[in-house]
Amino acid sequence: MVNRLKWYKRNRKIHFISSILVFTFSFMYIITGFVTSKHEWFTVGEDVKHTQNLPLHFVPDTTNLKKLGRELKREFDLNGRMDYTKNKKGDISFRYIRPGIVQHVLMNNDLDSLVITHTERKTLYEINKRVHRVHGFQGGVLYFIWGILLDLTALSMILFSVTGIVMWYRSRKIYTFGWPILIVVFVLGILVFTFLKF
Amino acid sequence: MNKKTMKFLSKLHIYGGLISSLFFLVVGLSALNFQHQFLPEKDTKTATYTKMISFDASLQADSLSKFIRSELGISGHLPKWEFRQNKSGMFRFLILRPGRTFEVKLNRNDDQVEVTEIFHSTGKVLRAMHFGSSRNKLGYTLLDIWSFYGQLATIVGFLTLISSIFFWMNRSVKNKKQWGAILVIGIFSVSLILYIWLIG
Repeated sequence: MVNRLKWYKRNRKIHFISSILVFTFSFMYIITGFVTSKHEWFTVGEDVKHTQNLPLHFVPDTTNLKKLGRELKREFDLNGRMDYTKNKKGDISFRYIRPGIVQHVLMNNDLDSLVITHTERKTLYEINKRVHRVHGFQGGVLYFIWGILLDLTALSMILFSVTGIVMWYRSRKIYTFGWPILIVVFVLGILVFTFLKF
Repeated sequence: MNKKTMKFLSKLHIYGGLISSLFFLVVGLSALNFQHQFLPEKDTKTATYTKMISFDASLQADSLSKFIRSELGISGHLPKWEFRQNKSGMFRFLILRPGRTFEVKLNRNDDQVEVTEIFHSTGKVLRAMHFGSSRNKLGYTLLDIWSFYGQLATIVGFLTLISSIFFWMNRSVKNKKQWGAILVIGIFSVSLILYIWLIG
């Protein structure tokens, strides 16, 4: 009995601590997730593009593209999460992405000029969708922290569910509708999974 | 806070939590998988069969694929970028639906249509369930119910989350230090979201 009570208290503590840790992120993901799922209610919008051809005033060091990308970011006042590629012709391209805005930098083979394409789609729906989809750990310290918070939020979603069901089970005699709700919801989940998988 | 309000909030929190529990489990697991890919991602199995379908060989790829899809009785999207055809009359296209891909091959010179059904892996199926709260409009009742459930779970989950603040105030948070910690974590998270959104 004592052990059970201890276990229950620990379960409650996990539920509480995980709710504190990721309250804001869960809140954000729930709202952005809902807006994303209701795309027909919002204006999706169209891309607005403008392109600039600019001379390069320094000799770029292409042996370290990560460093070069950061230099370009400073030099041309670019913002966002960076990624880069080099094609077979030797052209190097960098992308700086943040919700609603993508800046694409194409450096030609002679390394004396570059083309910056600025693509914007700043509708509520688009920004919301992009914020919802930020994931992964690359792109700097803040994106790494974001990745950890996303992991914690996802883990908390699982913990909320499991510990919440355990807490309800202890008081199932008071909250009698719990069984029908759980049965309906889990049967639906099993049916959908089976339909998709087999 | 009076007893009646507390009772109502308890009910909202518990029943709301139970309603959204499965969706949160699916979303949590698939979100972890987006980041770490620990679930199988490779398609699991395939099944191939042929069917005789009479069709108008002069139809454009777009119309022909729609016609064949309807004759096969399969609901799904027809991505145009997956159309492949050559001068000898070979035509290949894909029909995509959550959890399954159908590769359809035919020759415009005969009526034989070959269908390869590709079953998606568990990782992809969970991803489809994660995205499934957006209505896919493919005509599968079960997926429409899931989509409705996903949106309901999101709204109810939102209310459940809000109600947890009252439980913090009345039961769980015991001193100013804990409130301080909540405030710091909250401000940090909001600042991070704003930074990624506005500056990136």
